[in-house]
Amino acid sequence: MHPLDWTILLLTLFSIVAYGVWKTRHINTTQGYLQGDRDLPWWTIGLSVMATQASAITFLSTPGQAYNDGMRFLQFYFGLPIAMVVLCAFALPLYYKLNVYTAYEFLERRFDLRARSLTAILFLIQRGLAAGLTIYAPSIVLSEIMGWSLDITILLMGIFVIFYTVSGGTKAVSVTQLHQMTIILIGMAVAVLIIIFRIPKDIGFNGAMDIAGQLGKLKVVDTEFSWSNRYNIWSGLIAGTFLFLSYFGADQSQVQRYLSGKSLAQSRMGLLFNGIFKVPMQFMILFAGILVFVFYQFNQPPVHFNKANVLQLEQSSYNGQYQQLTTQYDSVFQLKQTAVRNMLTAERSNDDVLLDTSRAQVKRLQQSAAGIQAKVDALILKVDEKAVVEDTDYVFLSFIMGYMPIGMIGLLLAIIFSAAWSSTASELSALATTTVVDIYRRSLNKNKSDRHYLITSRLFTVMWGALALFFAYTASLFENLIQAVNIIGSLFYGTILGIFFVAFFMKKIGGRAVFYAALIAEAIVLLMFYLSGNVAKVNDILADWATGAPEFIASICTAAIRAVEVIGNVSYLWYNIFGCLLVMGIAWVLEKVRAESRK
Amino acid sequence: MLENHTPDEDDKPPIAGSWNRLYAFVLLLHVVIIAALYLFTYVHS
Repeated sequence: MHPLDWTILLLTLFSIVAYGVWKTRHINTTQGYLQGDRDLPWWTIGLSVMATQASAITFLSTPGQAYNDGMRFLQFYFGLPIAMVVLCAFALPLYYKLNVYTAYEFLERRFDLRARSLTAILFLIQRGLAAGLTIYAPSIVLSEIMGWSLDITILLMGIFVIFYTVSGGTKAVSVTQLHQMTIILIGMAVAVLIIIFRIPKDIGFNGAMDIAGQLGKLKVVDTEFSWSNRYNIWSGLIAGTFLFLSYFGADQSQVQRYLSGKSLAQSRMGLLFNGIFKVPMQFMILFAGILVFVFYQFNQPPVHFNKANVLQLEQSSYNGQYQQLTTQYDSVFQLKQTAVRNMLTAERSNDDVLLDTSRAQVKRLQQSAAGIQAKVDALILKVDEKAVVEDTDYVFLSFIMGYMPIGMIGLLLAIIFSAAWSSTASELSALATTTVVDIYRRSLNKNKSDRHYLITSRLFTVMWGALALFFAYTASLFENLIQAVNIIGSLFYGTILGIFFVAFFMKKIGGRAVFYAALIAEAIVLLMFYLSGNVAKVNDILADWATGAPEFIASICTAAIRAVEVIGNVSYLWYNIFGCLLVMGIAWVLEKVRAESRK
Repeated sequence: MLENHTPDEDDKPPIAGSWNRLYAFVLLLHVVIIAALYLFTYVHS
């Protein structure tokens, strides 16, 4: 990397840490540390909420997802503005009125200590795991592309954010996020402009749009409903709304952001700001991936984007086969480039026959290229059977390193670090707050001095930081990093949201019913997730049981096999709704049974 | 619904006059954005 890039990267990161520590140097009470001074204006809250959600994974993985799969992922965010409005109308006034530190405090007032503690523990498990991934995911991509040591990258990702979060608490998180988000938004806008200028002059922006459209990359809205299709307008609007209600309404890492507002009005404005700008922001990030896709129609892309895998392959006995495949890939690229130009000429001259022919040719060549890539993946796995051949998350960073001008590389790396730090800081602060307020101060060590709880809060922030680093060091890469974070969220959010829904909307249901309903619902959601990855295995076992069993048992097993096939194919986004509805339904039944038994 | 769940009447939004109007604006804007994206999909498919 050029010295100018290093200077920009280090100056940006140093100024963030220094500003966070300096700005919060007077924090010396538990309330100041865990709630801030409750003096933040709406724009800081809005950007802080956006920065918490947009982790480094967002900027690494999302453009790669658009590169491979087009822009349909945007539908995932369609439920977000609806959730913002619902929360502003119902949850925020209540949180403010009760003057709570955490969302879970409200549950004790509504139900009992058990419901509060259970929900807090579900949050700690879910967020604790996700915090490790928030550090690990960008570290592995950065280390492999930059050639840095993974251990040192993880340490760099984690240690500074722990330092300023421990030092200034939730206020340090918010004030640094304002700057981080400003850098992120400006940097991404500049990156998009540079990519547009990198597209060949004779193609231009309009040509790029035509090419992406013809190759199906600009299909944002899919109106066809399917349980197994992760991204369509219905899963986005319905399941997405539930996911975001849960994430923003019941996840302390977000609740803590908007509870630092100067007033209820400022917090509401912050959330609505997020509701308005989130979808356009994600559009811009996905669009960057589409432009990179078009760019690589005219510039030779690597056959595999993860340089570490390629290096390992080149040093192995399979290098000869790899070089042959690379040559074939280059030839396919040349043919494809010509076919893409023909397609564009046909589009511009309204020649439908040539358009159909050339588009079909481009798609055939894309399949040939994909076939060669699959062969390279197979070779990588022969060299190292544990290697991860999914390279979506490496597409954007690989492009940055190869084609961005000097200075921009430093700025874009600063974006990735800023995004990682902003999410991690919120998570650590929220984990420490929940641990102290909902568990330690409430159940384990009551009536101590404020100084005691302040020191404890700092110690718990260090503890969660160390745990996140531990998880990051021991984590293994998922198929797609951003999906992994969302899947972990979806496993627990439905249950948490269900508890809050019962609290808000089912007045007659008590703490005991909601507690057992939450336990049962969580077990069912985890079972569904297990089945989604083990349909064949579970059905083999059921088929074995059915063989030779009495007719009644065999018919049950056959029905179970069908049920497993249906449940196993349900996309993870729907877990949010199922978990929520299960808690509400089971709690209602349990309360009814309890009432009947009393009569 | 909880009985004491009433928004603070002093907390007026800086624009739109009332919170309900502001919520309606955000939702309407969202509908417009989705419609624009649908049109975007239609034009480029």
